[in-house]
Amino acid sequence: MELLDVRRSRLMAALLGFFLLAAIISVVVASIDFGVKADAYKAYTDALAASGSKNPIAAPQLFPLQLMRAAIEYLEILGALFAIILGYAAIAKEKQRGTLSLLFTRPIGPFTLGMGKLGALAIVWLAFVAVVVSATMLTAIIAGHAQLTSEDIGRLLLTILGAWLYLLVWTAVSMAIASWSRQLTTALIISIVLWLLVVLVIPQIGDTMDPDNQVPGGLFKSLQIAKPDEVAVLANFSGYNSARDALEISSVTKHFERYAFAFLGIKDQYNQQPIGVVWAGVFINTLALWLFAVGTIGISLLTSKPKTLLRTSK
Amino acid sequence: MNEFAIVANGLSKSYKDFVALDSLNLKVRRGEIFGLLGHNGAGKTTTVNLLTTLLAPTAGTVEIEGVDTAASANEVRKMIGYLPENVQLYNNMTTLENLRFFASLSGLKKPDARIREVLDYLEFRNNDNKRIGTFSKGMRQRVGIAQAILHKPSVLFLDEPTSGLDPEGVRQLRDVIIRLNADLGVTIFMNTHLLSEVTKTCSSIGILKSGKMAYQNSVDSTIAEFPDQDSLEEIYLSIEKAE
Amino acid sequence: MSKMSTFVRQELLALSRERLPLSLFIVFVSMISVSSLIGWLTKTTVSDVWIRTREAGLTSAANPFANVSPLYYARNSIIYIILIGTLMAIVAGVASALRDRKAGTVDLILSRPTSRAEYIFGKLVGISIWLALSLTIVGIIGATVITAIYGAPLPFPDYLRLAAFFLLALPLLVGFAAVGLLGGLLSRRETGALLAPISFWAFVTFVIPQIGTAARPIALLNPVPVPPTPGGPFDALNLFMGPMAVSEQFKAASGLILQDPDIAGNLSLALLSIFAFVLVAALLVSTVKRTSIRGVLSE
Repeated sequence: MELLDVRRSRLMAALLGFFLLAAIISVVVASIDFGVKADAYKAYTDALAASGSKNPIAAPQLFPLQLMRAAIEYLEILGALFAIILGYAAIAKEKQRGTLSLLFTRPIGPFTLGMGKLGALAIVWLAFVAVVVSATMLTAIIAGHAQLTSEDIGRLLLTILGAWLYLLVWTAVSMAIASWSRQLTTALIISIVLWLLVVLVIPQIGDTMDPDNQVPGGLFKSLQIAKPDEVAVLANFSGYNSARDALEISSVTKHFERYAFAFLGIKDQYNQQPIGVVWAGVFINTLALWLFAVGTIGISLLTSKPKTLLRTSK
Repeated sequence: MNEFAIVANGLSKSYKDFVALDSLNLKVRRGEIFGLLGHNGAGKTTTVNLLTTLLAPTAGTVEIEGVDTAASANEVRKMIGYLPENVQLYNNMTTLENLRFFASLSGLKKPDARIREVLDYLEFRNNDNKRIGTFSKGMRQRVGIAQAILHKPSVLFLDEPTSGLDPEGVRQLRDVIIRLNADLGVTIFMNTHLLSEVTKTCSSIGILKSGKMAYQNSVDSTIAEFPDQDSLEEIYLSIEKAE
Repeated sequence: MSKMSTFVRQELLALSRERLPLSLFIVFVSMISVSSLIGWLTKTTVSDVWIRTREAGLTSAANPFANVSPLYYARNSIIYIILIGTLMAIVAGVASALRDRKAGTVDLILSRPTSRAEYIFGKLVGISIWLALSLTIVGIIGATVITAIYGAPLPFPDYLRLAAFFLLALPLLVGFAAVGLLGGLLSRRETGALLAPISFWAFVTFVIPQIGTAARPIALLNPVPVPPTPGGPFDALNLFMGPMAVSEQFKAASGLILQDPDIAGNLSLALLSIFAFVLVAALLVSTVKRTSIRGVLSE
């Protein structure tokens, strides 16, 4: 029933359309950006060659999965928001329509409603993420003249899995809040404030607290410090970095970002590494994603029992 | 002075794929209590929306106290009061705050004295500073009527005013309607399903059937016209069933 | 005019009692207060990093944060205005638009001798006053925190700059409030009423700047501007898309007002972009018809 409702929903179609547009634009822009940088490199190399020198810097390489970086960031920010609003709406519409008492006076189990709604939205989000990732990858192949390997397909599937879990977390959270809250407006407030803090503010604070981000182009680059020396210097600020890290890992968004960036090779450390190496490197983030998902789904189911839902029905 | 408070000629309202109202002719005398009856979807609310300038007709004219609604909508709005079905009002505001807002929009300056007068009239004074969100349906309805009569309208439109009220609430509302009409001479136009209330309250009725006026007459004449029917309910049903 | 003032008063009364805009205001105030502290903490750390690298002989470059202006601590506020302030404004607009439809009072209002313009602009002016009050409170708190961090009263021109910065935020927020109002008046569903303006905000804040500069969404959340990719189609794209990226224009204008050395640009152009945005948004909302205002709202 929930799937039918979603399928007929123009809102869902509009959301998907908007998101696809943003994601595809981001891949096209990233492809053009790479092309511009590649042309600039070639022009510089040619100029050096003309003067008898060689370009010591390696040519930029196109890694197609890296073109998806902005699309992943859109999933982090907007995907979470859409997941919250649809999760909230799944419960809110039952309360507003007055259909809860119609449902619970039927011979259904205490978790049937919650499982049904979560299950339906899980299918919706899986389809959503699959479409978005496929569309952006197709765009990368066309716009970026890129080619995918079979290992790349594996990485994409893992990314779809991570994104799906991430959106499920937010759907489950907002459903739980909408079920538990006596007033629907309160539920919406809490959900949106949570999104603001977890998705935008905490990662932004973490980013702001990164010393390297405080100067355009990077602090260490401006001080002309090489990477090994950078690591050595930052070791003296382990307390500050630990505090920053602790803040960041409290956010499920950061876990998803680190997971996805690793598997897509966006983080240099994992670029072109075998999947097994990446898996080991981001095991903590993978585990965190699963724990968040299982935990929030559990809470969502517990709050969707008749006793809670009917108690709070307005 | 016009004999008729409300005159509609050839009033029609069509949407893309259906006709809500088809050439409605209607006259309500000044000082009458007129009950508009009809099945669900007959066009009663559409009729009220057209008479209260909320909708523009596709064809036809409406005059309220001789003033054309199309040409002088704001003049008409000064003369009418309206209580829609299921009005919620602003839950997180008090009775006074709600009424001050509507009074101000009706052009009343410093309306507090008038608000108190109206609440006294409706026997609702002890709830001035309570928030509407705590009120029962009946209490909200009183505040709804209060906002409709603050500016002393000459014509009052009530859309299903007894909807959701308990029997005591219905009785109290009936008393208010009769008193408004008797004491202040307000012409009252009322959509309703409660035929028992129509008999006790209205001086004339109209029956709307699928967007057309199937019947209109005074209540007494209607009863005289159908001597075989025992009640207004049976008269109504026989008119509804007729081709 | 008096009818409009009725709507203005009603709007202020309603917004002071509605929990969603109030909650966002509390989050906004909290983050602005905290942002200066985060700025101070970061600046201290960066200076310490520079000292270490200097002592280790790894760099001869000057300390990028030597003699930094106290206005530097207001830097993060720019992002919180773009993130939280604009969302608060959108929510205020949506709440205003949905209030009468949910309360069933639209017909009570429209059957009174008042015009559509009085209704819509009364709401918008009411929301604008609420936003101005919010920004005033936030500005005073922000200035107080910065003064405390600085350890002494700031030079008077710095207070003027801070005031100008928060004043500049008002048209930006009013523009987004108008977008929220528009979304709320046109939407047939409560969920859609919120989602549409937020999607517009996302498009303006992330997608449009990306087209012009190739900057990624998360990078746009940093008060330090990402240098646009030179060459290719981006120069032309930025020329066209730049003025429409009103959040980025706000960042640039704010940076210039706060004398951020990392930000260059044309203040007049940025201001023009912001004011054009609010004007267009206000004009669009003024075109909403009575039939839309009366539209039935479903869940």
